[in-house]
Amino acid sequence: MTETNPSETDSPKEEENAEDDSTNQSPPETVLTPATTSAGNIFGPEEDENEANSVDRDDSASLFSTTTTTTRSKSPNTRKLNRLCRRAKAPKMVPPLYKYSCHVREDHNHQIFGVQFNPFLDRNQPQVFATVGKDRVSIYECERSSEDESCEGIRLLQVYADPDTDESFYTCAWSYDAETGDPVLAAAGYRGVIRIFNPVKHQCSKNYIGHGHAINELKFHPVRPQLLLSGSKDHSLRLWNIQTDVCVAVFGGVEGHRDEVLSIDFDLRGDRIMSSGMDHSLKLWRLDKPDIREAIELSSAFSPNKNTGPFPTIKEHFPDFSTRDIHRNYVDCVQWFGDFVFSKSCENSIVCWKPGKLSAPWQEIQPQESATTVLHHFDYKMCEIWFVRFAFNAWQKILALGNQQGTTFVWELDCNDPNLTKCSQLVHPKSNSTIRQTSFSKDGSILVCVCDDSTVWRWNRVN
Amino acid sequence: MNTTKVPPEWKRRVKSEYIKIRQQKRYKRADEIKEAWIKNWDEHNHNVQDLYCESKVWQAKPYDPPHVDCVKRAEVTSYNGIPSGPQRIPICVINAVTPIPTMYTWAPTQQNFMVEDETVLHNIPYMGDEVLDKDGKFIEELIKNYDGKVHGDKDPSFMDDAIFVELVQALMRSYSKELEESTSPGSSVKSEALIKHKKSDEEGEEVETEKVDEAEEKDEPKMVEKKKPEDDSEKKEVQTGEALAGADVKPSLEDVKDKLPFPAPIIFQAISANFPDKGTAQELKEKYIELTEHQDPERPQECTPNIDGTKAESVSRERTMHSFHTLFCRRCFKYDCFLHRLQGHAGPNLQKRRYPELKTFADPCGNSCYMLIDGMKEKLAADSKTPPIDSCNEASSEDSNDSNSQFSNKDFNHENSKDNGLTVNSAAVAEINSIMGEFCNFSDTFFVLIPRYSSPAGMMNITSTQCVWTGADQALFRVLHKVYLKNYCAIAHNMLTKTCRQVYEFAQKEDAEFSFEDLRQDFTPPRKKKKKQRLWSLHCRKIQLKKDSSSNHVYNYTPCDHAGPCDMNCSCIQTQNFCEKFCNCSSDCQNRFPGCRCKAQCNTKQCPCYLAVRECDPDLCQACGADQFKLTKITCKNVCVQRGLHKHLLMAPSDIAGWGIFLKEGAQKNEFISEYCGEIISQDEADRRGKVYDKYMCSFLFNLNNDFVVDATRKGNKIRFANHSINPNCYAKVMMVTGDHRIGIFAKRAIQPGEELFFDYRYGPTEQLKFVGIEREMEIV
Repeated sequence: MTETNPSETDSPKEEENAEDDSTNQSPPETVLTPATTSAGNIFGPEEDENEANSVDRDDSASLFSTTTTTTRSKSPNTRKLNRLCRRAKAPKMVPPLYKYSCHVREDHNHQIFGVQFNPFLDRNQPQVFATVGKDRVSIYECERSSEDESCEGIRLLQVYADPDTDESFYTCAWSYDAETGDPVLAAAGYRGVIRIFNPVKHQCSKNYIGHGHAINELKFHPVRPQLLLSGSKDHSLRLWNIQTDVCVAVFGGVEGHRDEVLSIDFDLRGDRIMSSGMDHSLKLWRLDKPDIREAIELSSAFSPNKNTGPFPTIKEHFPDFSTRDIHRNYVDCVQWFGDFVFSKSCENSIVCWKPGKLSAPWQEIQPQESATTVLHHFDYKMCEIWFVRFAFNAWQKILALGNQQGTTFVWELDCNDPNLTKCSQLVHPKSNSTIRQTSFSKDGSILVCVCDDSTVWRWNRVN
Repeated sequence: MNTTKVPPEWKRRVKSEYIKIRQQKRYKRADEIKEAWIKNWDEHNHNVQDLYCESKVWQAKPYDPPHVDCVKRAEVTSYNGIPSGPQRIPICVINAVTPIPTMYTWAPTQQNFMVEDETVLHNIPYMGDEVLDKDGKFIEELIKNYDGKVHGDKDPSFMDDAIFVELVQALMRSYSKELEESTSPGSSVKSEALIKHKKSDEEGEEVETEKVDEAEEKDEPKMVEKKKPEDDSEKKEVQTGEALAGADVKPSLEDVKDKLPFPAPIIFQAISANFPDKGTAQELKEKYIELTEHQDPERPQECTPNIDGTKAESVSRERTMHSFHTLFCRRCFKYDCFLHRLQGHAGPNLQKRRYPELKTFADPCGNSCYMLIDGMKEKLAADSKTPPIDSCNEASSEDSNDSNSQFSNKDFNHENSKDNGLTVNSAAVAEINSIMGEFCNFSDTFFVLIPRYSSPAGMMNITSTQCVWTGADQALFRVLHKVYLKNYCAIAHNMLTKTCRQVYEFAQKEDAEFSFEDLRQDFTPPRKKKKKQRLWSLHCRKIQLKKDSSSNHVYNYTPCDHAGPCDMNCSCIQTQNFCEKFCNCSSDCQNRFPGCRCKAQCNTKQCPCYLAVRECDPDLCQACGADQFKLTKITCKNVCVQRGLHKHLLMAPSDIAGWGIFLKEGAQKNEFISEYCGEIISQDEADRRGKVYDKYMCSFLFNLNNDFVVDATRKGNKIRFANHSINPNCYAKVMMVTGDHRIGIFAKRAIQPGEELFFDYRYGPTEQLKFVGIEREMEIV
């Protein structure tokens, strides 16, 4: 609270008021949280250096590291956003849920922006994940041994490279071929070309061009494995059918995002899309509307040979809900959590919220609805750059996010009160570079983190 | 904005009330959130169960092409765990794909779209870490452009709708307390004031504003002054309304009584000052109205929610026509048009009648014609001695402008009547035609559901005695009555639901309120025509004069609306614009452009319109066929922008850089290619946006005139992809097109089919066009 930026133009009086405000707000907060807080693990700007379980680390180099070729990085916000801020709540700190297993370093020396476990593989076979960084897409397998932990590791299976060395993949997503059951991997990034890989045949089987700029995130539809959603720097989202190779819909335009789309997510049933972007906004796009539903059906039956003319792609200019009240900076990650939404910006907090009033059901949310309800803030530290994503496990009971210092925060959400969720930190002396994304294996036994120093970290669940 | 007026104690008050509310909320919400959280878990767990997907098996095989030995390998180094040490795997290099050029999403529009200024920076643009590191000043300057205001400076989520309403109401409570203190010692006055205050919104508001003046020395005399004439007119309105239709106005006032009084404007101003993110005082007020369903005390009483259907009230003509008069754009012929809605527009001149009275028909129009009523013939004969209401040729009428072109309407009408297969049996219908033609704009939009020409015989089965005049019928009658006066046949023709006789009978009841004599006095005496001949030569000289002293300043045209003739005080003359047909001055105003009398194509400087960089106006230029509805009948080549006669354009990666636009079929020299469409923004807004665009080295800004700029970044048409060249094949020209400045792109030379189009961003030949900001460096040839 003591930090005030000289560039602020507000009168000193208001500054004072802001102070008053927050001090007035804090007492009830501390009342609500039971006395499990010790000075050691309170989160707050004051206690930065005073972390209880901080391990010795050489924190000189990696902090705010500006690797020369960074394309996604710093939040441009020079302003301090701490004024009027909620007092950081002290979550219940518990021993780490995951313990370090091993890590590997890729040889390209660039940031690894994305990691995804293949969620469709059988439990009993080794878990497979993909990482994307620079012009590479790498597929790994997690070696496992139930008896001997020293026999665990990460085995590199396949590596794909784009012939254009300018390419920098930002994101990847897994699906499967509905007919053969073969795994399908999609990746995209800086050049805006969506690549579809067939790891069985060792090839890039398809690619999709349509976005006018870089692609920041890819997601597959949870129910229909052939529907792929992409969010782009060109301010739009596109829904593709990779079975029939058509673009089903473009979401953006008149009331769409006004700057890069950074993150996108389908809800559990695939009826709704939530997107977030640099314009501080979060937008809802419904897929259960008659015209979109019809277009999806049509796309499955579409064949360029039979049909004359191109597929009638839907241009959706108007989202079904939009808000800019949740975050005050780039919103770089959004995911559904039941009927709630989890989203984060570069403000050291993941916000759990919903549109409309707390009691308002989803069906009643109108496009012009202006109200939002924030249910909870999951606070953490040292994550003020953008393009850092959190991840849920398959059942959404565990949430993980890495920060700029290589620390991973893990929340156990499975309890009856958001205030009672448990948080733990995963630290390792050598993990001190920004963690861009994390991913859980299907059964939640393995957590993988990828970093700016081209390292991939494996953590195993503690039983 | 109002922020400057808000005294500090009000700011403080808002703050303290706000904090109080926030604290109360906090305790209440914890339990509710817990409940919602649990419910969400239940539903989520349930849904997850449903989505079971059979797992797949995949045994990865290593990449092993025949030439594996010479394939480049990727290496990863493991730490802790197996396999320990480096792993080397052959890299599978995928096929090369050429991406398309960069393009940000834009919304296609074929028409300019005016948008408001953004005074708060939407978000800080990201231009790569390099910009942030090396050019930190840029962001600083950008923020300075917005007076330091960036979205998210203050957390708006702290004030949701519920808190907002509570805050307003808390402030009202504290405010009324303060009022009590300040108005005593005379305590009786205070209570009286409060009672009065509750009585009606209108009055309450006024009392309050006056008090503000006294107590806080916050001068708002303007408001009070403005109020009074309004009140007067409303009172009149109420009287006439009651007299005409009974107590249709009363209930709305009574409804309001029960509710809370409407908050004083200072409350919204203070909140707006404390929370600039939430909008201006006016926006907050509108929001409050929306949230509380409170009636806006400033809501004009003439506004009528329903003018047809069963719920329609029987109201006066003015109230029926209110939304038409105030919301209908007389320049675009639509409600709430995108081009002029932010500027507002002068309403129609209701004082003058433009067309002569339609004389009553000589013969009965049908079996139930009122003329067949006993003794009616004689009465009519007596009436006919009084002269009919005649109109002067220049008086403006109620339709959207004083256009004297009837081309479109006539064409429509003839087609309509033929298509419908209706026999136009009455000779008078032709006459109605011409009048209704004039009212076509009006009736097309206002009473769309009414087919205009149907045989009166169709309605003969309605017996006059059983007739029920619904509110909508009555209102419609009043609207038509002023148009047709005593021609009840014509009124019945248009109403459809009533016979001529029923109309007549109803009219007799109404006539008490409807004074023809008043109407007559409204009309200025008719003047001689043929004045134009002389004026025309005068104008031509004037145009020449204007051209000689051509200053580079071209101002936006706004219709003038003032008493008396257009002189130095007229806004059009001050801005060196011609008066247009949308002005409220008379049509023989000296400052009007006379149009052309060309019989050719109007594409040389021989044509005065062409010379004045104007498109031919269908209401002014008839000789060239600009007034023809059918495109085939137009010989004039100077109507392309208004008719949208653009060339077929193809978009493809440019031969030069980025995207380009190509002509599908060839074009001759000076032929119209396309209009350059986009958002119309103010010069200030363009400066702010331009800063960012320049940094991106990609700008779609185009100066329109001294007041506005066209920005095709977010909305535009395909021509926005035309690249810059210093040796271009196209040129741009800002033209006056029926009162609006628009940008036309024309062929500078003959262009072959398939050629890419270029124009010089820096200049237009009229020198009115100056590219704002820097050139697109990357796209220079």
